[in-house]
Amino acid sequence: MIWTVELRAKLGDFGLDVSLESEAPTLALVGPNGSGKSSIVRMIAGALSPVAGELQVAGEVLFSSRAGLNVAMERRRLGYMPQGFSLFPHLNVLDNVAYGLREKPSGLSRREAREFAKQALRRVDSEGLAERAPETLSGGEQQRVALARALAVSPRALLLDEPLSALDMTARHSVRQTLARHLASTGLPTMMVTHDVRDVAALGAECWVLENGRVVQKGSLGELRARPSNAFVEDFLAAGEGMD
Amino acid sequence: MRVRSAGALLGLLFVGACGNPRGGAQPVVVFAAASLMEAFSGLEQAYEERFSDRDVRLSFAGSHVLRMQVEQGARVDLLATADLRHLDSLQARGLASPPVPFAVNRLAVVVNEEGLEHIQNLEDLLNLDRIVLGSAEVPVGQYARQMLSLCGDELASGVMGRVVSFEDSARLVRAKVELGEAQAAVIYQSDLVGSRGIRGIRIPEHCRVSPVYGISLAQTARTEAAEDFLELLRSDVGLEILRGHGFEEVP
Amino acid sequence: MRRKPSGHSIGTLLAFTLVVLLVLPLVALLLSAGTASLSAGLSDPLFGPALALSLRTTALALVAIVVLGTPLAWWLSRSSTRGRMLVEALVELPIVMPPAVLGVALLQAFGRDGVFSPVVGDLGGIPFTETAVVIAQVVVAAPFYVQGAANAFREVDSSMMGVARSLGSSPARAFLRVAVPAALPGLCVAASLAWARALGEFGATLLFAGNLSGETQTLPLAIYTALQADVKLAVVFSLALAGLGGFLLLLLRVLPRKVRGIQ
Repeated sequence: MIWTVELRAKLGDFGLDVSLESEAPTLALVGPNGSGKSSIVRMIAGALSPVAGELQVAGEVLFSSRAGLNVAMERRRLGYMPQGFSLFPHLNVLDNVAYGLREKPSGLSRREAREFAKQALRRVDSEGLAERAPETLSGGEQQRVALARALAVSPRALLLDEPLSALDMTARHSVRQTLARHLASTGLPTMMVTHDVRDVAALGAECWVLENGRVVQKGSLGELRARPSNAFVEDFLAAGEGMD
Repeated sequence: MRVRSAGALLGLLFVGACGNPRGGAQPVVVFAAASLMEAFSGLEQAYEERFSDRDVRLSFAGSHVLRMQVEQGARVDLLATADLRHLDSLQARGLASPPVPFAVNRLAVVVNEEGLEHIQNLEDLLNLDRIVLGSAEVPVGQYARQMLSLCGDELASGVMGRVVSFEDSARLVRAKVELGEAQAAVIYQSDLVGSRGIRGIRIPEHCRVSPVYGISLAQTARTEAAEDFLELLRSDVGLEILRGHGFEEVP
Repeated sequence: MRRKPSGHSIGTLLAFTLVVLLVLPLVALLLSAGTASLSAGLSDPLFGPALALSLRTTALALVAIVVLGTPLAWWLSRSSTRGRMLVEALVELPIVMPPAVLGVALLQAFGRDGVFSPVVGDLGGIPFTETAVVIAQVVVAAPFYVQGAANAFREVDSSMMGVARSLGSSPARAFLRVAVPAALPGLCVAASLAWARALGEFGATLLFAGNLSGETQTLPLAIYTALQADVKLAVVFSLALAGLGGFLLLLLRVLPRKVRGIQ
């Protein structure tokens, strides 16, 4: 199993209760605002702790209330991109990407880390940005750099919380292509929160539809089209039609 | 390079401050009333000339502040104040030896140039509108009140009504007149020595007040060095220095 | 469209008034001290030791404030418990208390007649020592740093900290590698404010540490002493203190940018 996500937690005024497994490398969490999508991603990343449950990603147990196990965030080796732009403002692009390579388990010297970081930037077509300061970058450029930074440490999976929603049309399209190309070539397990059906289509992701902290439907885009479980799914699918 | 020289400068500051210029001997610490500032600085010089391996440290403030600091545990050898009251109370608490009177001062009513235009004698103080006195907690303030009441209730209440500030020591009173913030003030005759742009006016015989200065050995004193200072103070050399700064001999 | 410029010029006038009010005393100080009295004043025996003591004690106080205050400020910026409000209020209390009150309070805490002396015994005679000077400065100035630093840390996005953790940093490493450098300009401003407050500290020092030349007489205390001997001297000392303060405030604002430039 690539994903084992069994979570129970109290979130504001509703409870999160999810129990799913999947062999699909790419997952898309969809659902209305406040349905618990971001919370799931943050719990898998380790930024938030569930009350009980079991989390496994790519064969590695990250959390298990039964076994009393809760792996520290920094040892989960997951590439995490939260909502918004979160580049470190005090470091230039190259040092942003090199950041994680200086930490365990990579533990590279500054020079080696920068060398690797250059390669990571090249993979997202951004080697020209290396010496720039984050605040001088466009939104699309920032997300490319953030992606390179997450990928540079060779994570066992990628967790993306609405990575494209803050970008304009053109940037969204081009970053999406870069992401799709990279995931297709590496097969890196990826979970993505999105509101855009085109993301799901481009990545060939399996959808988990959430509502009030529960998964109400699971399946490919085709399966969702065949039997949409609620009005949200219908709207979600309709939003993409005629736009591509 | 700049960082290194800044570091060196910092290091120098620390070393410079910790090194004792007089070869490790504990300094004689003397707390003294503000009005003794120049006189005791002169004594310090004379003392350090006589005992070249010793160091004197002086601290000046209003007598009540000095007393409070001794009560709270300041390490001090000698304590000289402008009256005997503060020393008596320290003695009663076992913190100081019985006070020894060592000098007499006189009160002086002083005016600056602005005040001088309106004043011939003491009664003319009522022509002014900005007078400064010492506060009731410090000797110079207590003596001033004593002097005014000797001069008569009318003058006393008139002057008190024209006071714009009560200061914490004789020297702070003087500074206010020198700066022109006040036209007149009551300070010590010794404060007139070395002052700028102020003059004393004649005080009638019947309202003269002559404060007696006292000095005590503190409980924390290292007696030998401190007693040497006391001895110098009461020697002819000491008397000469005190006279030079406007003080008089104890009768 | 008429209103905007007039509102703007009123704002300018108000701002200008405040700047004049702040700068005027310094200009007066400068004008009242001639160059002759300036050089005479700076060679006065009171000046050198007081300056050295001020620089040394405020440097120590600043180090103590930053080392002790930074973790506290971080906690204040992250915590949302009710306890935080209480701690925040307590930390800021010294700002509203007159320094003389703090001096008396410090004596009551550490002095010979102190509240705790029956319990802990004589605390090595802290009052009236250089240590007392540093303690007084820390108590008076630390709130300015903690408050400013907490505000600077609040600007550090917590999801950015999450990213640092996911990239392999322990909480402590993430704090040192991301939170501190990201907040550095704000931290420097806060530190410079605290440093300036420590440099100007007078009331608590006078009461808690005394006024002994070469031992506890900082520059502000030397000014107080000089005022009792020679007003001109006090003016020169004040000018030196103002110049020093201005220079270091400027330095601490320029420095973080330089550091950033190097990275």
